[in-house]
Amino acid sequence: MISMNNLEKYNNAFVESFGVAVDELESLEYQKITAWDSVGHMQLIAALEDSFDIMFDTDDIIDFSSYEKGKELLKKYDITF
Amino acid sequence: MADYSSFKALRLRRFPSDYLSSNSYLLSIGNHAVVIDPCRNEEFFAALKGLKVDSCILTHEHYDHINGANELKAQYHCPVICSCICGERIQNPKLNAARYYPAFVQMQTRLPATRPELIDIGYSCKTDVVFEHERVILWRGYQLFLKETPGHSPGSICIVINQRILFTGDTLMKGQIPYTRFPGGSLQDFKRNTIPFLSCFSGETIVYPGHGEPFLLKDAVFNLL
Repeated sequence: MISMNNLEKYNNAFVESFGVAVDELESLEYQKITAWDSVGHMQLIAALEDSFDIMFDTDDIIDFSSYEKGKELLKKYDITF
Repeated sequence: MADYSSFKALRLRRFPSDYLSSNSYLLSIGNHAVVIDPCRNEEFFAALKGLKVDSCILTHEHYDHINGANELKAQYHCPVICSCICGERIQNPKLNAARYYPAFVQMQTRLPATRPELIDIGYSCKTDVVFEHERVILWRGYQLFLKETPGHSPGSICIVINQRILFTGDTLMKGQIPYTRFPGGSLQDFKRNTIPFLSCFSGETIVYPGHGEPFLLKDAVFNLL
């Protein structure tokens, strides 16, 4: 089995949830694409929780407003990139 | 509360919840009742007073449709019935989406929850009767046909009464393409299992959805998928 590093896991959650390409991720923001609406957001959060075996606080789920912001928030859960 | 009292002896009432307007339905004949999707809603629980609740049916596992189940069971000692998959997922606050509920409400409404005491992010509940595929319940001269309709969630069902009243939970909503993107949802399951089932009904069938007012099946857009 091939193990993924944290960045790969992080990127994969976006790719699987929203059907976007890796090279589109850096500029990605909430509601900037159709797939990242409030429903898609729950899909992304659940995927990240599964990948990193964490549980987001409610405030962090709400604050998770972009690809870059998500990386910053994950530091609180000891996930570094 | 909306009262639809046009089905002979069957009285049907709809109670939208405070958040997301999730519908709880109260079906009653005399002093006997069946509840579909119990939410924590004062008006709904007040309407139950004096009734004997024979059954509680869950259309699917999401928190906004099950959050009154424990209170209902404690007060009325009624059996909770749902699909086998729903019965597993309602026991887990992540799989029933209770954990995500306050965030989802805020992102949908752009406002923080105004009555946080109504929300329990650790919520879980248990079922008493589960079924796979389909089940028929005979109740006070009516036939309630329960059918698994996965897509919106893996544990989703529809409930058909006497082949003319259809409760869909979130499987169908008026004028909206069904949401199959929630965690656990599947467009493939919806196309393979649920569309063929819904296609068997007349367009004049009355649909009582999980959110919003009743509508005719012909006004649903599931065939566009």
